Amino acid sequence: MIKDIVHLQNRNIFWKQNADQMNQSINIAKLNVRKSAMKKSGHDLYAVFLSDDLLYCRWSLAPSTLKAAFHCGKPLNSEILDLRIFDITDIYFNGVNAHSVTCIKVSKDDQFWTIKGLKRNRSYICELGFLTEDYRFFPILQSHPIHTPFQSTEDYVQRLPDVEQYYQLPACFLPWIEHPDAVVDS
Amino acid sequence: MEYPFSVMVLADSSFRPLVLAGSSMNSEEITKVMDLYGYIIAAAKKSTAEKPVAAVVNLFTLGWLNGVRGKMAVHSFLQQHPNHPAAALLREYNGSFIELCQMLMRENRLMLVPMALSQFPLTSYPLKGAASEDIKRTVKMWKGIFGEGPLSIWLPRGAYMPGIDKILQQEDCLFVLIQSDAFPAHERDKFHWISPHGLPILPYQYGQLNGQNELTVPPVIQLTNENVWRFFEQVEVLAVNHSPKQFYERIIHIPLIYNRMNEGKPLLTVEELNRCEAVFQMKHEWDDSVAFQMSETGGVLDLEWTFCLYACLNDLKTELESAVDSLNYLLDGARKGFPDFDYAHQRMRLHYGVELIPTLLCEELSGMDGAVFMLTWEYPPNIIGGMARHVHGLAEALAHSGRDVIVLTSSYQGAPEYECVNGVHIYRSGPLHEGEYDFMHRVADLNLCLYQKGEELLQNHDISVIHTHDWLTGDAAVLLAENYRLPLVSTIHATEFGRNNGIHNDLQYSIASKEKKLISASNTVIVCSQPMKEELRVFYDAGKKDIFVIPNGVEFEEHVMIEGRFNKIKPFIFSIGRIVFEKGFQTFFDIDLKSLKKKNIQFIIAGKGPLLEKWRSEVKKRGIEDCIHFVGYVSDNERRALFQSCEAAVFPSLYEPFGIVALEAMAFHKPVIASATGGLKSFVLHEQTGLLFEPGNAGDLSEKITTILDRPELAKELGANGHEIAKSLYSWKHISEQTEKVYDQTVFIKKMEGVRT
Repeated sequence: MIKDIVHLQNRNIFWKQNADQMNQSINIAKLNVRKSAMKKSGHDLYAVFLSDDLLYCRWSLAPSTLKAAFHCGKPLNSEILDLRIFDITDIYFNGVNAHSVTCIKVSKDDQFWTIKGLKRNRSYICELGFLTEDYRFFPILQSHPIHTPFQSTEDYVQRLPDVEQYYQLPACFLPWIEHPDAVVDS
Repeated sequence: MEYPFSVMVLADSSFRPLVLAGSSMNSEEITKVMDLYGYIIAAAKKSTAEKPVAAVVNLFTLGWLNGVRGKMAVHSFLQQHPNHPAAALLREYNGSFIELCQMLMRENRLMLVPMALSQFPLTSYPLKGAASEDIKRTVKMWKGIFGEGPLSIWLPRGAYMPGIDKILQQEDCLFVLIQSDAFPAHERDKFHWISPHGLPILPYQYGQLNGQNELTVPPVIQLTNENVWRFFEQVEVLAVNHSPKQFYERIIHIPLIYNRMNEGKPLLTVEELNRCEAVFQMKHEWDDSVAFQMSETGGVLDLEWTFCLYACLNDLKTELESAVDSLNYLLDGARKGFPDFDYAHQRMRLHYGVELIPTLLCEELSGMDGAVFMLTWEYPPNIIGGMARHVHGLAEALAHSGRDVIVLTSSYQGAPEYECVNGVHIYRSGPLHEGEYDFMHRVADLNLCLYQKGEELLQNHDISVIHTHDWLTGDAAVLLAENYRLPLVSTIHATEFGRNNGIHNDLQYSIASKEKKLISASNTVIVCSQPMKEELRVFYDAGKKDIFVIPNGVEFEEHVMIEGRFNKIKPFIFSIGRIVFEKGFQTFFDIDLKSLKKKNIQFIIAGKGPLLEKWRSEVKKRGIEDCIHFVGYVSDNERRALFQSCEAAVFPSLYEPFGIVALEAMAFHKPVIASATGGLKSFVLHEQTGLLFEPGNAGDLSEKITTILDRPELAKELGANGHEIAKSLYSWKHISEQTEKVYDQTVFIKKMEGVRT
């Protein structure tokens, strides 16, 4: 066990050395991200699990952002916003290709909502926006994607080829959803 | 699975410093702390190096025990309770729990793992960066107490999701503890599990203190003051022997998992989250300048805030009230420039038992001074038309001259959110719905994303001027310039009126309206040719605007190896551009191919656009697919190779405000044949730097191609002359110098706005 830990620790050091070889610009990028990470940007949408099938969405929308949004797209009703939950399992979400979407009308003064009934082993993303005069959904904020727990503990086997490939080639594209803070620091 | 411990206990009882501070040495609270931690170290002393005891501890409690107040309390307690099971041991170490733990850890009898400091589930923070900060802070505090990092961090409520392994690994943790419910029951004992980021996983299972554990992994036992003495008595029975079995390594990806999830229990309640919301909001109440004021007592603000969250989550009302008051007092002093360092030091020494240096201030980003903030809908490597090359050339030349340049552009799949290339800081954002079918809707979506990202960047950097390129990013630029009172420069590369020779439908009208709004809101406007300037004046009501003519620049690129895809097509004439009607590629369909075929000449037309498939079908329909090749998108290297090896470059545009690709061909010493239109006429001088033909006239174009092919000496001379004019007038260095002058003038105009009468 200890041997394995040392082996893996060494592997970690190898990654660190690689990271050290990254140019200054990437370091600056990291600092930039870190610098802004904990600051209030005035517009955020978070989606976190309260249980395996219950999602909690919280948003903060600065009046200036809402004003800018209504400048870019004319709202049908400026008092009502749309909270949408898209099922984006195994796709690169482009706004029009979700497997399903759930729409919830919220007041522009609301700040959070809970959504029950998420399916197991699915990926979701939330968006807050509004309907435009031509009845199109205009997104303002998008949450980090989330993935619900496996249906069964054996489901991990389906991901095994992807996982082993990533383990061998850590630089390749991550084929699953990670904690947003892990993405920020990458 | 082999474990570095034989039994693990959870000692996470509430830490209530106010109760501790106000209590006497015989009180319940002091006894609780002394019993819980005392029995653990006594049990560890009983164990051997083969069967070490592991304990998950509350780091706030350990910090307090390390602080002045904690040490005094331990001394008094030992005097009052000389027969306590831990008393003799503690006396050997002068009452210091920390030194005693260090000794036991050195002897491999004890292994301590801290719970993440706030005890808030790391998967559920509704605050960007908070989970990673929590882990970092825990590691820092641990290092402050023990001098080295922890082996791992216990995840509050067992909440794990992918990526947490990576954050732990970045903090040099050696393993992650995940409850065994996450693994298939029949495989739990077969494998040595590893997370995708390479962190070993130790599955854990809760056990009981009844001495009848039938666990194959070391049990995790929840300790309370009521059962801790039994643990001390049974520690040898509870210990699980390591199995000598052979294990196989297996990498595993586990999505969300938390304690008792499979029993349908919640991870967190809405009430808990809403209760903590006020504490999350407090995190926004100080910035770097306030933290800097407090740097002498590094980390105090972060620790106070974390304790607020801890107290709030655990519903310790009195503790929360006191911690909020303390944080507000420190913030108030720091904001006014008179931080109370005595109080801050006292809090650190008495309350937390550690001093931390904040990461933020050590890693301060070098500031920018009067940066240019450019908005563009495309930027390399995302290239659709000439705008990306223009903005790229200009941005890099400006950065090379010492100017800070930030480019904000649209994102695409796999694109980094930020990168710095050749001194240019490139940020990408939006559109959120890049697959949206309605073009105007997609552009509006992009502009809102750019506006939001732009706000964040403008707040964090010293920007002196906003420079946008065309209407596509106009809304974002105008909103940002208005809200932040910054001067706005617009470069109009082409107009909707010019592209369509008038405005004929609603879409064109909408675009032209946006162009007009942008021109009207801009302090100064840049165009690339005199005809464009006239166009704006006549059709865009820009008669009173400050319009500057600055041509496009061109890069003088190195020769590259020829790529294989087009090797078989030789000799050939090359053309490149967006495949739209106004680029005039349809002129090729009617050229005199019969006579040109004798010369075995081929035509390669590169670029993508809405008409690409239509033109490909047209070529097939006319049976000329072996001669005219619409090759679609070409990479940068392919583009260079094609310029490098063609006989001549042809640009048959019907409308061309400038024609940067013709300049590119000149940079490669190639003879250029261009239609006599717009900006092309300004540098393709007939029979001097190239040949001009009548736009849309295929016969005229055939003649000019024949001339080039028949007269190689002339072709060479035109290529050389073209290169010379491109180099002298259109280098990006030259262009960026002219643009800088426009920036200076625009800033001046904006400043003078306030003093105009």
